[in-house]
Amino acid sequence: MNIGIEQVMQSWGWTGISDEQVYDEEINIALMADELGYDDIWVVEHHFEDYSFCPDNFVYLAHLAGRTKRIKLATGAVILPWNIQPLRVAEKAALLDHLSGGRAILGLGRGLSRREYDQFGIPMEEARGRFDEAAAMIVEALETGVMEEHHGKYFDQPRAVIRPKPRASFKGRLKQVAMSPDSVEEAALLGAQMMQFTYKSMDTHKAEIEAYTAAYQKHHKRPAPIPIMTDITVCDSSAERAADNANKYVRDYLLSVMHHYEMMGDHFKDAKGYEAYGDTAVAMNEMGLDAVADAYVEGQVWGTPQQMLDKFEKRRQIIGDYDILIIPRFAGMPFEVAQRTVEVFAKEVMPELRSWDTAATRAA
Amino acid sequence: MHVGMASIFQNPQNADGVSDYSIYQQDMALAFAAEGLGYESVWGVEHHFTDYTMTPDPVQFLAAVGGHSKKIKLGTMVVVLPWNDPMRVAEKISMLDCMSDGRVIFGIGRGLGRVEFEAFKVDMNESRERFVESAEMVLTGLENGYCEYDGKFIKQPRARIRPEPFRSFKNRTYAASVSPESCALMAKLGVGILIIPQKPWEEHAQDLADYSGIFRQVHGVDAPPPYVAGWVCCDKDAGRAEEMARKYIVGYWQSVVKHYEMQSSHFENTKGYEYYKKLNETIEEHGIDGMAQFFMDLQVWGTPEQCYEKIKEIHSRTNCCGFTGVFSYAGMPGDVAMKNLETFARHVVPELKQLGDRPAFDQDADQEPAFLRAVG
Repeated sequence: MNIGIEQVMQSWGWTGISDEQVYDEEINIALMADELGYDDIWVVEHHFEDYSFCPDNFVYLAHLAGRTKRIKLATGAVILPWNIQPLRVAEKAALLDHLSGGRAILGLGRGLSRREYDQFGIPMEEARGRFDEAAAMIVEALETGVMEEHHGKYFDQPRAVIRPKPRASFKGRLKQVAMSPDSVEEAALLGAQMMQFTYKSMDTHKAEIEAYTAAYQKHHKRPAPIPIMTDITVCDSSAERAADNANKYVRDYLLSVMHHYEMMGDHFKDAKGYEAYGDTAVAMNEMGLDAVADAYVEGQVWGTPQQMLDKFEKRRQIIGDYDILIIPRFAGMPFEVAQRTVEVFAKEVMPELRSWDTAATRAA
Repeated sequence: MHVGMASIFQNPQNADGVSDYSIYQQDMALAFAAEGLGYESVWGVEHHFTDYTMTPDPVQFLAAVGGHSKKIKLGTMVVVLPWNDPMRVAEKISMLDCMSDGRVIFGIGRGLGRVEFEAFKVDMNESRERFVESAEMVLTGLENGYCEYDGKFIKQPRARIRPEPFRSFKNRTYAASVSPESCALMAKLGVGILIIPQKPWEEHAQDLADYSGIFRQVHGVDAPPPYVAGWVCCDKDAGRAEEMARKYIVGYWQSVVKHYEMQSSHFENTKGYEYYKKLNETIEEHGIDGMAQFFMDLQVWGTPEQCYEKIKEIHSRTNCCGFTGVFSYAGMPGDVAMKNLETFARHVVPELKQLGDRPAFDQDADQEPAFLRAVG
């Protein structure tokens, strides 16, 4: 089982925190993770807003590469439609691998925030098309060391050699965040391991995982990798304190998500490729924000080490085996809460998780 | 004088089987050793696609160096604006500064390699205009905390730079400039000049005089002193140093001619590159090998005393406030490059630090960017 930390680089929820301090705290967490035996550090790509600001996750990961020797470094994810030069994405991935001595993991994503699309001046309706076109170009260039001549709908690219030449294949270290049916299918086609944030019902996640597995198997004629499931987490040996912190900060995090992505807005239904989000928006409006927030807090894995292990196991009964990412720092929490999560999880949850049998047998 | 070193990750022997990764290991070792040896900055260059220099993103390289170090400054020599999305340039530079506690020196340039312009599908004829628009957007953005531009080539809706700049980039922004027209342009933009020597020092000195005049005229204050780079072969044995220079500096010159297609006639009809047409003619007149000696004589090689004297001479011509040496290039073996770096560090760097003035970026008390000063 692979166990890592995803970093969201957020100042939303804090009062008077500087952007520098956000980075200091997140870098600190990454260094703790390296020492405590987490397998990888993932970091988002986001721009412009308090919600999250890491405009170039390759630059952040290169900084970590300079400070660490062991932990793997994953873009979680590179948002392809916001990178108008797919060539550079391939170059940056190859470069990170050189700078880190082979520790790069390439995670791709499509991007959900209209706020960010607008400030890039890129129409959200083009996201699906841009992602699909760029992803194919980048994945191939990383395998061969050459981005071949390409004349597509969104990108016109002469032949270009990637230097420094990719050190090694990215097969087995290509991931994709997939939260909608067409993203799930795209991940399968690309041969990427699928990563999901757990904010839907486990039955919904199960259906999506099954769709991914079937499509992957069909396309590649070999078993699909297990998915990566990502939770917002508070881990604490005190059940009471864990619950207090979760009820406050996990809930606030959800509010930041709802605000930043305008999740209950009606712009999704008319945006090509985002129709599923339109349906979700309708459902959320019917539930009301409070009920949505309650359900979200309920659905994340947090608590004492034993409570978390029980939740992880219960999830395993439904969806089968999966790799784990936890998000420990978010939404205004005092830094020691995040540090405690990282430490307690490493000491009391991780060893147990690693002992589970993670052969690719799936639940019925 | 401030003293730095640059890593250029050059692999001219790739066709003979030398892997890009072995060059990375070699040149990263030098960059990581720099702070301990007393260098005050590490610089990265931007180039793509060829053996010539394999750093497509110098900011990413410098982020790794920044992670590995505590106080050494991190300079771009340069970020080539026409090849980049300028919003991302502003963001990356601010990120690097944020993560390194304010150690960035921001060098920008226009770009010269046709191979790069073509692969990025940017018309070389437009490079000067694109450079100006991007520079205006990025430099203003770094002082204002947000970018916004409606130009002929660059269109950017208003967007905040996050993580936000927390220290002003005035006094730590340089532009690489070789043509006289570029120097005038840089004066108007209000940036310092970064000299990567390619022509007789009298000509560089003339450009600087013109630049200083325009700078004072436009901005009402004295221009900052320039910053100089040079290719170094430093050995306590004079004969060995010269042999090294004949092999590696000349080798480097050959890689320049190859990567930039200096013998091709494409500069003739490219708007904004008239200076290179002249250079083209000079090369035709003297030949590549004739020019090699000239290029070699512009660089810094010899015993430590000879290297010091050469930089002192450059200083007397330019009043430069800093020198960045390149120590690994043209297929130089790793141990030779490291010895080059160490010899220079031990015997020349301490002397250089006593020579002339320090640059403003080494003297500045922390100055906030304009938008934070306005709030505070």
